[in-house]
This record gives sequence, C-alpha cells and structure tokens, in this order.
Amino acid sequence: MKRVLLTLALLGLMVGIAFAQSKVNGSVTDAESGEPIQGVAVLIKGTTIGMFTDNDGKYSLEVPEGNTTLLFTFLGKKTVEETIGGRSTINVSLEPDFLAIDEVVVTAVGLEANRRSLGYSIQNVKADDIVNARETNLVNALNSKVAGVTVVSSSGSPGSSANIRIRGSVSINGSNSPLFVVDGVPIDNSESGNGVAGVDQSNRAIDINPNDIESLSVLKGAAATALYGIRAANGAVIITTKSGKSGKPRITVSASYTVDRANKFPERQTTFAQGRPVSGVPTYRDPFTFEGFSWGPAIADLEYDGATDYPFDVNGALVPRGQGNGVPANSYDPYDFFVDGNTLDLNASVSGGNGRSTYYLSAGRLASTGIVPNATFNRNTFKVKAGTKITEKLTAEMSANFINSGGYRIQRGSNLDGIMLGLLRTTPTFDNGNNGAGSADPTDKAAFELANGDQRSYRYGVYDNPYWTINKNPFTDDVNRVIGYASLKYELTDWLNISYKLGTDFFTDRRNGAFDINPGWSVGEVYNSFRSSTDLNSDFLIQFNKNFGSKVNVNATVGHNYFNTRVITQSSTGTTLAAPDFYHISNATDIQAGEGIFQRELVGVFGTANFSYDNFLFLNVSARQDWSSTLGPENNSIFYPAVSAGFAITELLGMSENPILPYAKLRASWGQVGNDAPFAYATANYFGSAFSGGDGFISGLSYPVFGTNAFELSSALGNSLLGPETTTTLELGGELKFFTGRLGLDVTYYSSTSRDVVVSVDLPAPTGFTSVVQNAATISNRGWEIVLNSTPVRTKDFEWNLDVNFTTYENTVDSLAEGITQIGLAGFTSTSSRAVVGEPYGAIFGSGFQRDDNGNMIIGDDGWPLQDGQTRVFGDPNPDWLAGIRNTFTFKGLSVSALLDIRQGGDMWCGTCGVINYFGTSKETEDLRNETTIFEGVKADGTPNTTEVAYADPANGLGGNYWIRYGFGGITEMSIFDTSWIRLRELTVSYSLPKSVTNALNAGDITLTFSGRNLWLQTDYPGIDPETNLTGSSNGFGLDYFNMPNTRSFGGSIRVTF
Amino acid sequence: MKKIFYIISVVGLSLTMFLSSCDLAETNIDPTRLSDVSLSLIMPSMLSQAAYNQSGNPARISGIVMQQFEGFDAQQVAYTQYNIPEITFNNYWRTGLYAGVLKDCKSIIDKAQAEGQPYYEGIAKIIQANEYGMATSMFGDIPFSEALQGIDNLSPAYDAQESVYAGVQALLDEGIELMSRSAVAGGPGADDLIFGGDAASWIATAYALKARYHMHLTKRNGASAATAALAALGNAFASADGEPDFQYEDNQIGNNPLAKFGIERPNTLVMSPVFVQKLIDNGDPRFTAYVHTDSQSFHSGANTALTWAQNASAIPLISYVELKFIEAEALLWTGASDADIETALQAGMTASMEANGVDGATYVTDNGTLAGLSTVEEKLEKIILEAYDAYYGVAFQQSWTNFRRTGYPSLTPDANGTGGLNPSGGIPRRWLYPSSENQLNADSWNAAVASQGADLLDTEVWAFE
Repeated sequence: MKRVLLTLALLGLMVGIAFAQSKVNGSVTDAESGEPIQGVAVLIKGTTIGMFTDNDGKYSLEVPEGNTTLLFTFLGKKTVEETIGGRSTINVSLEPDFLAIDEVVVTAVGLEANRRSLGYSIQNVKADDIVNARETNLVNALNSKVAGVTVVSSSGSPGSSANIRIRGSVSINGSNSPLFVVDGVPIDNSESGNGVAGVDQSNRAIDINPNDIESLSVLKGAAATALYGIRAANGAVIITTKSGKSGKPRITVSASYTVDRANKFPERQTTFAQGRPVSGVPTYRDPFTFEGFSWGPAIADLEYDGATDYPFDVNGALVPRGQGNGVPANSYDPYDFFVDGNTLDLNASVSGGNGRSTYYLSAGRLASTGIVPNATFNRNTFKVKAGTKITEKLTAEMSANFINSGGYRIQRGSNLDGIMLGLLRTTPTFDNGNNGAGSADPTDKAAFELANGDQRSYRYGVYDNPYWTINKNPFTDDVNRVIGYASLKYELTDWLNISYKLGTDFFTDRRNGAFDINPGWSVGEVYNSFRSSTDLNSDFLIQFNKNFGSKVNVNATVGHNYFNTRVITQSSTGTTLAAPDFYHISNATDIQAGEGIFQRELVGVFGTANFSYDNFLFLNVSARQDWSSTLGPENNSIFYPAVSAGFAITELLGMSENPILPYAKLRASWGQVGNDAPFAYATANYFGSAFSGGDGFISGLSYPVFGTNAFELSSALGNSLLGPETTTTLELGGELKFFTGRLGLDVTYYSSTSRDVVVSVDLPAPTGFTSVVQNAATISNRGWEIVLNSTPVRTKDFEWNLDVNFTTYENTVDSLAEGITQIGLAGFTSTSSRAVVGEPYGAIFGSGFQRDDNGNMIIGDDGWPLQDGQTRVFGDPNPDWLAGIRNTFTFKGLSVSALLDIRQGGDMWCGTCGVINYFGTSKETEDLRNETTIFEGVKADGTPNTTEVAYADPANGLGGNYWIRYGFGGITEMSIFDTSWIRLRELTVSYSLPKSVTNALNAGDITLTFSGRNLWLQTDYPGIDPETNLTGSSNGFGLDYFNMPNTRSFGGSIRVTF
Repeated sequence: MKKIFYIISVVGLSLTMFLSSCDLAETNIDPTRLSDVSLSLIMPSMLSQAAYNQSGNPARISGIVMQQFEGFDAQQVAYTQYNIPEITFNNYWRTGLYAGVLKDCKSIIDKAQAEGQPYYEGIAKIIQANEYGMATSMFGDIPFSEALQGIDNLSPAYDAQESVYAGVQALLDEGIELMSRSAVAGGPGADDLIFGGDAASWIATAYALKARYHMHLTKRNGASAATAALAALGNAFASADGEPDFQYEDNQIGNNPLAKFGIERPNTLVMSPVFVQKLIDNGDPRFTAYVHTDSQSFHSGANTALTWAQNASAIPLISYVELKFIEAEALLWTGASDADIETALQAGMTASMEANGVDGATYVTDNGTLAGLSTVEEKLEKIILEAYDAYYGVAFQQSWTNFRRTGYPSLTPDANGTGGLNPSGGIPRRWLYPSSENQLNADSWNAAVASQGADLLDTEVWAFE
C-alpha cells in the first residue's frame, strides 16, 4: 500500500531540480536473506523527491543542495533513515518490521491514513491471497479472509453470483451488498434475474479482474464509511489497482489452469423403479404414463422385454421378472451427466514510467466451462492507467478498464427446465444419457429427442431431460463494460491541495434465452433483454494537512459528491415458435415488448478532520449531508456525523521497544450513516401497463392484449413522505502486538441499530393496494470480530504463520411497520426467507406441524402428525459463528498455505430433499420405505402417541405415504437442516524460483503455484454443498431448491515477471 | 492565499452548480407510467381480471373438491386430499381480487362519478358485486364496507357474510339504476370487451347476477330467496346470446386460464375418474367436449373438441345455462308444477348441449324429467345433479355452492381428507383465508375468526349453515 501512495507522491516529482546537486546511488538488500529488494521507496527527507529501486535493488538520486537525509521505505520492513554525509554510495539493508503499525491504508473517498491513527477497524486482504484463491468472482475470493464479512456463493455454475455481507444485513428491499470502490470510483455490483427459477446470473463485481488488484481493504462501520455517504451504508470494499512505477518497463505474464468437479450431491436410492401403488401393489409405470413417482416395484423384480423399437431404453421396455428376456433391469446413475469443468486464466501486464509519467497496461482472458456440459463463462479485460505531471503542481491521472464478459448459462431452480429438478427427480430405471450417447457427446440428440421429435425424458416431456435443457433451452449473456475515471490534482501549497475526479461505470448487458418447442407440452418461447446502465460519479475535494508545532497535526478534507445512475432495460418475449432449434425473436408468433427505466440522483457535501497529538492520541470528526432523488421532496435531506478516537497506550508509556508488549492501541468510534430508498418512484401513485393475474400457477395477461391496450392503478401505494433511514454504530476495539510483533490480536465489538429502515411493506389487499414503501423497520446488528496474526516459528529459512479471523454476530429484526410481523425477502409462497419481528434477519418461514404449549408435536388419532394451518418461523440461516484459519509455511522460495473455513450453525431449507422424498428418488425413501414408526408426540388429549404407522405402505396408496400426505415436497419443517461445515477452502503451494535460476533465464521472478479449492468438506447437510443460495445475492438466503451443485477445483499456475 | 480561495471557490461552485442543477424531484417521476389515464383505458383491465378470477385457481380447486378434477401431481394432489393451506389463495385474494379487479372497479367508480359517466360507474358496480358475491361464497365473512380505502384504512374489518350478500344486491341495484340512465357522450364502447358499451345487456346481466346471489341464500331465506331470484330472472337475458361472455384469444398471451393451466402445468391436474365414469355411464353427449379421451385430461392443445380449455374458449361471467337451472330450482322452491320445472330444467340442459356444440336432444328428453320423483328433495337432487354436469368448465364455484347449500350431488370425501386443516375429513365448506390476512391484517382477521369460527376448511359459513 505504501508503495502505491508513494508512487502517487512521486509522480513526476523529480522536476525542477536543476541547481546544485549531488548524486547518490546504491542498493537495498533484505537483511535476512541478503537478496536485493525491488520497489523500495527512496525519498529525500523533507521533500517529495525520490524513486523506487529497480530489479536489482539499485537506485540513483540527484540530491539538491541542503538536503541531508535519505528515507528507505518498504512494506513489511522497518524504515531506515540514512544521513548522506557527503557519501555518493549508500547501501542499505532493511530489517523486517513485524509490528507493521505504520502501514498506510486507504480509507473513505480515497484518503490515506496511517493505520495507527484510526479509531475504527479496517482490514486488508493481500493481492496474492485474492489471486491465489483462483476464483473467477472477486467476491468469492474474499471468503473466510476478513472478520465480519460473510460470503456465500450461489452455486458452482460458471459466472454465478456471490453474496457478500459486512456485519449482517440492514436493508429489507434494497441491496445489502457493500459498496465496491475501484481507484476511488464506486462501481456497480448489482445483479438482476436471480430468482427462484431461471439461470445463475452474475453479480457485476465479477467483471473486476483480480490480477489487476494491488490491494484491497474492507471498511466496516459507520465511522469508517460515513464519508462515502449513503451508498456505503452496508460497508465498503476499497480496491486499489496496480499502477506503473518509475523505471524500466516491468512485464508480468501469468497463466493458470484449474479443473472443477461437483463436490457434493444428495444421496439417491438405487433400488426401486418408476411407478406407484395400483390397488395397493407397487406397480411399474413407464414414461408413457407421464407419471413422476419412483414408488414402483423393486428394480430387481423387473427385466427387459428386449423390444428394439422401445424409445425410452435400448434394452426395451420393463416388465415383471419372468415375463421378459431375462435381462435384469438396470439402475442408472443420473449424476454421470456431470463433467469436469475447467478454467483457463491468462494475464499479461506491462508497467513503468519516467520522471513525469507512469503507466500500467494489462490484458486478461478467462475462459471457463462448467460441470454441466455446454455451460461457459468468459471474461476479457483490458486496462490502462496512466498518470502524468502536467506542471509542477498539477497532476493528471486517468484510467480505463474495458470488460467483456458473459457465457452460456443453464436453467436451474424451480423450473420444469432446471437441470437438477429434472435430474434428481429422474427415476433410477431411466437413463437420461441413453446408453452413453449423452456422455459421449452432450449435443447428441439420441439422449434427449425421440425420432418423432418428442422429448425423451422419464416423464415423456413433463420435466426436461437435462440433456434437453442444455441444448434446447439456451441462455447467453454478453456484457460490455467500461469503468474509468479522469482526475486532476492541484497542489496549491505543500499543505493544501484541491482535486477533482470524474468516474463512470457504463455497461450494456444483452441477454438472449429460449425454451424450444417441447412437442405436446410447450409451443416454445424466445426472450431477449438489453440493459444499459450508466453511473456517473463526481468528487471534488479540498485537502488540508499541516503540522502545528512538533506534536500536533491537523489533516482535514471537505468535498462535494454527485452521483447519477440510469438503467434502461428493454425486453421482448415471443411465444409460439414456428420452427424448432431456432432461437431468434423472428421465430415467434406473438411478441410482447417492454421497457423499464430506473434513475437515481444523489448530491452530497462532506467534511472530515483528523487531529493527532504526539503520535499517540488521534481524533477524527466527520459529517456528511446528502440529498437523494428517491425520497419524498420534503424529506430528502440526510445529515449524519461520525467521531472516532484512537489511543496508542504504548507510545504514551514509552513502551515501543518493550519485548513483550511493544504496541497497544484502544479504539472507539460512534457514527451514523444515512440511506435513501432503494426504489425509484415510490413517492407517488401511478397508472401502469395493466396486468391481469393472481393465480399462482399460471402466467397472467399483460396488456396490450385482446386487441387493445389498458392501464391500471399500480397496487403499490405512493408515499410522498418517504424519508431516509439511519444506521448508528458504536464500535470499540483494541489492537495488541506481543513479542516484537510475532503475535498480534485485534478485537472489535460493534453494536449498530438501523432505524426508519425503508421497507416495502405488504399491505392487506382489502385496502386495494398490496404494498407501500415506508420508513418502518428497526434492525439491529451486534457482533465481535477477532483477528489473530502470529508467527509461531521464524528462522532464517523457515517461517510458519498462523492467521485466524473469527466472526460472530446477531442480526435481529426489532420491529417492522405497525401491524406487520413479517416481510418476505426471497423464496416461495410456501417457504421463504423473511424478516420477522423478534427473529434473526432472513429467518426461514413456512409451514409446520401442530405443537402443544410444551412444543410436543400433536399426533392425530390415526398416528400421523397434524399440520398446522398457520405458517411461522422454522429456521435461522445465519451462522452462529464463522472462522477462517490460515496456516502458511514458507521455506526459502517455497510457500504452502492452507485456509480452513469453519461455519458453525445456520439452517437451510432443503426443498430439494422434500421433493425427492415426495417422488421417492432419495436415499431416505429407500431406507425407510418399508419401515414403520411411532411419531414422538402427544395426542389431542395430551397422552403420548402410541399409534404405529407405516411410512409408505403401498396398501395405503400414495395419499397415505408419509412423504406425500403433507403435500408436494412435504411441509417446511420436514426439510430444515443445519449447515455447519468445515472445509479446506484453499490450499496453495507456491514456489518462487531462486534468483540464480531466474537471472539465467533473464527473468525477474518466476512463481509456480498449485491451488486447490474446496478440496475437503465436512458437513451433515443432506443436499448439495450447503454453501449455496437459490436467489443469488438477493436479501433472502437459506434456500436450496434444485440449486446447481458447488464445485471443488484444483489447478496450477505460473507467473513470470521480466 | 487570496488566489487559493479564489480558485477553490470558482472550481467548486461551478462544479456544484453544473452537477446539482438537476431537480431531484424531477428525477423521481417515473417515465414509464402515467399519473392519470382515461376511463376507457382502465375498463379492459377490470373486465379481463374479472374473467381471469372466474376461471383461475378458485375454479380449479372448486372443481377438485367437487370431484370433477383430480390432482395428479404436485400441489393439485394435496388439494385433492383437502390439504388446501392458507397460502393457496394469497394470489387470488391479493392480485386477482382486492388489489386486482376491485381496485380497478374503484378507480373507475371514483373517476366516473367525478366525470359524470353513469355507464362506466354502473358496469364497475355490477362487476364489483359479482366479485364480492363469489368471494363471500367461498370464504364467508370478508372485508367489504371498509375495503378499498387505501391509506385511510390499512386494516379493513371483515363484514358478516349476511351484510356482504346484502351489499352485493345493493351494488347490483345501483348498477341497474346507473345503466338505466340516458347515455352521455364519452361512455364505454370498444373498451367494454364484453358488451361493447351496450347498457341493456349489462342490465340483463345485473339481474342474472341478482338471481344467482339470491339463490345462494336458500338455506337462510328458503322460498323467499327463490321468489326474489325468479323476479330478477324476469329481467335477465333470455338466451345464450345475451351472456356476458369474455372472449379469450388463440395464442399464449391472451388465452383462457384453464387452457393456460393445461399448457403451463402439464399433467398435474386430470379429470376425476369418478366424473369421467359418470359421464360414460350416463352416455352423456358432452363427454367428448369435456374429456380428452386419450389422456383423460381436461386439456389438449390439439383437440379442438374440448369446449372449455381451448386457448380461445370464452367464459361467461354468468351463463344462460345457469339461469335456467336457477329458474328450475326456484320454481321447485315456490311450488310450481313439475311441467314448468321440467321446462326450465330441459332448457338449461339444452343450453348446455348447445354451449358444448353437441346434439343432446335425446339425452335431454330422457334425463330432463321429474317422472318418478315424488319428494321435493328428490326433485332438488335431480336439478342439482343436472346442473353439476352442465356447470363443468364454466361454473365450478357454483357447483360447489350448490353442494354446500343442498348437499347434492352426494359425494364420498377423499379417503385421506382428514388433517389439521380439515379435522372432520368431509368435503371442504369454505377456503382458508389467505395467509397474508393473518399476517398483515391480524386484528381484523382475529375478529373474523372469533365471529365465524376457526379458520379451517370445515368451518361452516353463515349462508350454508
């Protein structure tokens, strides 16, 4: 980090040095290894003149007359001051700085601060830890690395989204994702289209190429983010990308290749055939019956008839044993559908600069294929960043990052076309791949299409054969994006500067999808959407930094911010396709089109002042005033202050050389941050395009239709009084360094309360409206974040680092609107993730069994538990605590690093489990099918239940079956499971070739890395990998309904620097 | 120093002016919607929502409990076992009914009153009456007098079912009065997708609906309900041509909801074997118009013989068939001669044959007779049984209402029909209120449950007690 800042400071500062000078040169080496160090900042003390050491650790400086001292600074090393004393050669060796308390970090609005001076918690992630994670999605690369940060990837699909929360959730309807800021420009991390059905869409932070990242820091509390204003109400992830450094061009080339495999599947039964009880006897029912159940006879009791014209199996139709050709019936494994995915990531960059200007250019190409055949995600990135000194006082910088990303995505979730839905319901006696045709060539129609054009699937077209879906239900997306900025900075004096930065994040997102004609079932559909999103961000800053006397420093900033976003989405849907296998809108008979426009505008002014006294007492005061377009005209002004203090006790006590406790600092902060409404246009009533619906099972009627157009009053009631919400956070913490810094402990406690949270409150429909946007909810968060860094062993050649981060939090919904006890966040009518008063945010809500006051299940006279008519909360998807434990062993150039991820607690609704139990394809239905039980509970009269029931006695028919009698997929309570896990999230072995070898190859550095991801997972969850979420990075979580499986991956990479 | 502040002021002020000059309130005006629209633009929405409500989820589930349909997969199987939880009708109640068609009615009534447009107001009141009538027959007590008040009443109370039925008749009377006024310029025309703005047709429809909702109360009002129904029938439409038909389209954008269900939820709902067997046993000529014989399904995209589940099948808000069965039953209640009753009964059956495009003359003569039936009860059963066969596809809810108020046809409840939602195990007597009410309108919901009885499927509602 320090290097970056110095780079900026050094930009072209070696000008106007024309007078009496002396020349000093030398080299800088590592005191431990003796190797030269590249990139050490060499600065003439009291000036801004300096340079970085080159590949061989060498530097050469012209020192103006009157300057006497050189400063040598490098991250992780103690700073060295050398008096020149007339020498022309000064060689320096740098000792390690294990304390690292003077690390410079980037805080809000791009301001930099000495870590020591902060009154709030901030945590950095190293660039190597991001790149070595080998995650396509930057958000996933942060998983388990930062205390207070929870990341959940939605699935293992290429390009799928990941959900990131800093200190839990606050917003009910808006995004809870933190603000992502790249080089001072807030970027869009939105996503659209991740619902209970459809394909896995990306969150837009996926467009950032991790290889371009120089450093990343996470701002958590209100005091840290206040200056960013309302967009950082959920915290901020501050990314600084790589910059050029003065010196000869530096070229880096890297390549990595990883292989992905599905890491966990629900267990299936392999014993019973398709069918159901007929007159009390399990009877085989073949695909021609359209029936979906696997409650048929034992597969062992069936054999083939050998018919060669039977379309559903090459061996012929199934008949009872003894009536066919004696070839026993097969039990097929539908998981053979999955293949190895792979990802190839190629990157090249060149950077450098001269005295006045620097540049960084990079290109990246990532190409991945999924564990589902045909699935892809590709990302091409190009970046240029350059800075120059126009005059001695005026610096200009600009950056442009072009990204093209997208892929071929696969239907999933609650969707008759979904891969896992069709695959997991498939009966064991049906072979989706048709005798190896599908696995040999996933596009071979032999697997999914019959000779007459009908779909070949186990229910003859009701649910799609997975091979049908990947070929006949295409979905592609294509994003073109430019993130860039231009900035000017003018140094009025050495203690005052003004700067201006105009940033933009512009992208278009074109999506094309189709459901092909499914003869007998569907006439086909083509749907297109084209989204154009334009963000404009303007920052004007005046910065003041001055020492008063030797002990007091004042560092202040005032600024103005303007933000404008405009998102236009044009869509068209065409139904009734004319020809099969042709997925263009021209193929549709009836076409409906629409256009949505979202716009939001923010204006803010802000100020901050930092006071420090004698390097041990620090005080920061800041405030921001925002105006937002999404609030009611009278209530659109938002003001919020923050104050923080840091107190370095050890400095005051003169203990900085103390061998046991050289550093101890206490922090305290209090701050508020406001937020506006996440909806545009919620302040008035509107008549919109009319829609007739309200069935729940079938689509509605969208106007224009019936040869006419129509409008109707929106069922969302306008609220002209809508005002801002405010989150107030109190944060206390301390940072301790023991044993010359070999053990570091950072503990933070925070408690925050969000009031007047803007919520779209459901109204009782008899009001004539279904919702209104109100300032209603109160949501609180409190938690502990503990970071421990240690170096248990350190010798000349070997080092063992153990780093732990621990997070625990409680995220409670204290109140919602008057009379409202719960609000849906995501999910189904039957089971959903909700905000429920008095319950943890995101609680899983649904149907359950009747219980008495003591919590005993109430059992009917027939021995079956009774269903409760009213829905309620059944699970908490929030983990009790999470921890990331990283062990790193370094021996000379070899480094082995293992990141363990532990998540304790947290429930998930395994909707998949309930449904595959219903259909009789799960392992559970194999184990218990012929068993009986006495349900534990009480009868209506309070006496214990003693009535024995058979789970699935065929004599009772399907309706008497335990997994069917409570309705489709059972009731919510039957499918709630704990997701606790321990996993080896990352394993990295990397080896840097010795200088002797690299020099011989004419290279600077060569690093070889082996990376493994998710190589080991321990969990009792019965479905797929419980790190999953049906609804992507939406606010709801804890839902698994035929989600795509997650993956484990392993691969290697090489990075060469010249 | 002066220069510094000069530079800062100029740069800062000009940027601030440039970037903040846009009016924030202006930005928050939705460019994709209107703040007001004309009556003619709301009218189609109101009518299509009314038609959609009539043949959507409530119709199918009424068909299931009346054993004309049977669940084959997924939720429909649960419904067949009377596992019809409180979430079942959230969509209908919220999007279809109150914040759907009734909201549109309210928009039209308010606007028409302000603009002096009696026909718009009249049609909206007739539609509103029918929607409340259907809803109260299914749920019992429902919000009525405090409904649709927006921000002014966010927890509308439930009215007793008796008051709702009275309110339905009052709304119909108001509708008739409004439609009887002289036409004014700017009245409904092509935007009236049902009658093209014809006032007389709406008046006839209003009378037909009055007859229906009078007849719902035979259990309460006995013969006087029938007398009132007969009086209304005198002013109702006199042939199928006068029916308030909503015409759907032969595509997947504007198709009939029952056809939509067949297409979008394939193979989850099939014809009940009980009903199919009955049609076969009776030699009912409507068999091929009701059942796709290959698949025993109510729907087949290719089979154009199926009357009610074609994409372009029209749905009448109330059919001529129904009027004739109401008449037959009302005549029975009021002591008319068997011959008069038979005339009405056979007219109803014939109208049903014609609506289904089949030749049923012999069937009507053979079956449309009260011969050999001595008691009123036997004759009532006969009329309701014939209505049951004739209402298939067009008026499932009315069959369920007939069953609840007369006990016919006699059906055997599903063997697995006993559960927490239906302790008695009998055929459901009402639907559970949607879960949104218990969650969002808890006080009013609690009061309704206290007054009407537990929110269960076998709790009796006032009208059919």
